[in-house]
Amino acid sequence: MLQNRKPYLLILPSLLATVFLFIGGILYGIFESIGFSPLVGEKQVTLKYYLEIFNSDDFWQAFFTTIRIASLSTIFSVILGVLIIYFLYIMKVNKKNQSAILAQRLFQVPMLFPYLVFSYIVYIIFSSTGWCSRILYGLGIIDSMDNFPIMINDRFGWGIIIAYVWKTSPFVVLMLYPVLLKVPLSLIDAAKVFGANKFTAFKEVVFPLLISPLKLSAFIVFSYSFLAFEVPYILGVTYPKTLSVYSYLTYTTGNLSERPKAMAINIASTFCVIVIGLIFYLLKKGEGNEG
Amino acid sequence: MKDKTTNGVILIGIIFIALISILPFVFLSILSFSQGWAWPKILPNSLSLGAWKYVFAPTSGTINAIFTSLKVAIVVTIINLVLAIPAGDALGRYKFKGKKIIEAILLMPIIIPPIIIMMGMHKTFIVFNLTESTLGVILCHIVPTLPYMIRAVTISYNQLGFKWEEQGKMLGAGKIDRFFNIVFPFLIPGIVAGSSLSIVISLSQYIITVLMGGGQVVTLPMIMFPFINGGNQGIGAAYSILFALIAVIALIAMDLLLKRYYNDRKIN
Repeated sequence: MLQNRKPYLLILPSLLATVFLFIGGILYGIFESIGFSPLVGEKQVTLKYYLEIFNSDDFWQAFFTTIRIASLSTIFSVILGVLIIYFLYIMKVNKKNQSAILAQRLFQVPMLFPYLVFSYIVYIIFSSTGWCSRILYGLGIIDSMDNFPIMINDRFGWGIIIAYVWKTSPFVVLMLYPVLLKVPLSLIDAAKVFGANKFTAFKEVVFPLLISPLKLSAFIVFSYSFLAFEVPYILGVTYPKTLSVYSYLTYTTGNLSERPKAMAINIASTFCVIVIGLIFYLLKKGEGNEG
Repeated sequence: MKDKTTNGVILIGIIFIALISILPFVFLSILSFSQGWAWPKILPNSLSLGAWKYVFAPTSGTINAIFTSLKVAIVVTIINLVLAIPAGDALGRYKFKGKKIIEAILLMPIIIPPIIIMMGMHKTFIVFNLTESTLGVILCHIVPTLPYMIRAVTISYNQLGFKWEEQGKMLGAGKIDRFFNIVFPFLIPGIVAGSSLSIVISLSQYIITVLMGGGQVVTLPMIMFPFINGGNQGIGAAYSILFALIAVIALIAMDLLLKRYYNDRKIN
């Protein structure tokens, strides 16, 4: 009997902490977004804040900007991640294991630094007075800083995308790397015996094994870049904002009556992430049934 | 011929990786020592220690901010360890009803950024008088860090299983002895990995510290922010490097500390 209860007792402290701090945050957000706030004596439930945001252009602009930035960041990050894995694979089949480990470690370096610092690095390299523009001028490709394409604080969000790809592709590589360690070289040699070159061997033997961790990392990168705050706060524009910046500014700079609206934005966007997570989960489950 | 192309691919790859991981920091270093670096100069006119002098001047409050940041990160990591070691045991070694759902709840903060959650918690924190306090900031930082710690410790427990502990039991070791001499050494890699993530993520938090600390709990990212967001570029660069160094030193120190502890126990 005690044995049955043991895992629950072990997990209880963590669960309580998560429920109070995390689930609590979501629940309070939901309550506040429907105007239900017993702590300050408001008990009238209303959907007007949701209607308000769904009827506002600002919200939909922010929504589509955020979707665009998160999708492009995810796509580029995943492509870069797979390219790096392919390159590590080439090193491995050429018996250059030491350099493969070194290259992998080197590629992880950006993970050590916060998004704040990374936004700054992207700013000083890609802004119109940044290093890239100086080098292009030096090479005679552009003749004034105005000719440099606007990549920072631009409406499209290229600066934000660059920062996310730079920061998240090491994470993708970290998630995929164990697959490379698991694939036995003999399998690749066998593929070569049957006439496959290195690329075909990678496509036929390694890539199928990458799909599952690739989906998971794509989901994590997408959901993170969907709602993270610091990067678009520094590299974004006043209009259109991303959802997280839009909601934070509504929360802090508007008057108190605007706060439930910020909560409604938060809850709507959290809901999006959870729906995408469920789709991902069901896709994975379907895959499991086939195998 | 074929080998040549392969070597070419490897060389290009290494140059590319070095470019994207090392170059930014070379550039930050030059920027932090630069003086009068107007467009379109590729390198600065002259070098200066001005930015670094500012960073370490007593008026800048850098040293205090570093201590606050480290204090928060260390306390957060210790709390995470206390919470995650039992949780990792349950998730890594036991089968029980509802395990999948509980695990999903515990890991969910990985995909939802803390600022979204903390805006929801803000009122509650105000009611419980937790805003503008270090304790409030510590509680905030637990949200984005705990899942990583749980994940890391779970993997270690999963690899450990029950067999070693059962052997210890047969040889007459008590519960506490078994934990410190059998389980804990086995968990060290997971603890190091989880604590590293916990420290780095806590050090990196900006906006939730601003929201909950209300400007009263000043951490390094907060001191850095005005310079990064359109302020003096040299100072922004110096702070960025300082931040990176502190993160690396904290990680190395923790790694050494835990390994030394482990070695001491082995000798005993």
